[in-house]
Amino acid sequence: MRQEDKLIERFGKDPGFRVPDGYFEELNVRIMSALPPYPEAPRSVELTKWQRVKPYVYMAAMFAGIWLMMNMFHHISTSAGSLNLENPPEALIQLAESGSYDAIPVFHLESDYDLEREVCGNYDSFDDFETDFGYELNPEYSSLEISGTPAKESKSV
Amino acid sequence: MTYIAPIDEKELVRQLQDKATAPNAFDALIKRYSQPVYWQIRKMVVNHDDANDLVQNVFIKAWNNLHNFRGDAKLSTWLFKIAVNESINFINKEKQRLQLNEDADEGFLLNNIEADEYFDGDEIQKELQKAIAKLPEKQRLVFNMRYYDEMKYEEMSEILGTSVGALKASYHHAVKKVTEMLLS
Repeated sequence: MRQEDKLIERFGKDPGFRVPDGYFEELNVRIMSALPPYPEAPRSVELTKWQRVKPYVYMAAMFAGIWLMMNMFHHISTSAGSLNLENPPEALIQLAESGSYDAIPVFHLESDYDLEREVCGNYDSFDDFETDFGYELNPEYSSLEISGTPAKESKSV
Repeated sequence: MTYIAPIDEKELVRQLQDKATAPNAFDALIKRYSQPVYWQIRKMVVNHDDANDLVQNVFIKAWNNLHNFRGDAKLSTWLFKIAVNESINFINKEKQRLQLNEDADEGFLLNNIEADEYFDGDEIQKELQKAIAKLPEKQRLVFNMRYYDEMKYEEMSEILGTSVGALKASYHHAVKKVTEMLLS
């Protein structure tokens, strides 16, 4: 015998609850008298043209903003000169170390003392220095001597 | 002119959704379904006074949501669904009010069985009600619907939003537990 059948046989199907006499007749009347007015179905709201297109306008504005930001970042990254990915400082150093770049002394010199030694070793006078570099020194510096060479006459700049 | 309630449910639904015919149609609806809805609630909350308040709430909610009823389900299924939700909400509120935890809710239902002046079952029936009160909420619902009302699993599935397989398993466990409590 199934367990359900055993329960039915032993306990039956009556839960043992009852209600007051005439309860359901009274309940029906009571519910009807407690009802609020007939509920109106909610009306569908008419949307204006602007309300209909507003989400699309906002979305277009958002994409335009993203496009402008990306353009700005691209412009900044390409105008950063030697400090960008296409021309990193390491590449410049390697170029300088290979000896094919005029700025080698700049990378090798470590102090003003080294610079002074470099100038003294290569030039006997400021005239040669001025010729090599294509401009005239300030008269204040022209009056100085290079490694004991006599100062030349001051020149106007 | 005397109103004659339609036998056809579709016609009753059409009348319920028409403002002019709705009051008479709703009166017919109450007459047709107030008893099964009341008993469904009563078996869940046990106490007559609580069931009395809840059945009124169920029909007022149904009235207020007539325009939402699409007619996809049967009227009885729709009403039972509201009744089950109302019963569960009520039990949860009572548990909160009495500061009971999830596992201790049978205490409040057992008290209801003892205190209800409209319970006239014998000791055997009281014993069964006490065993049912110890079941988890979902199993208690399924047991009541199947054991007392012999409701089809398909209809229960629509009311409770659970698969037929899960309901069968739930009922099987409920019967097993009740049997062990009472017959072992």
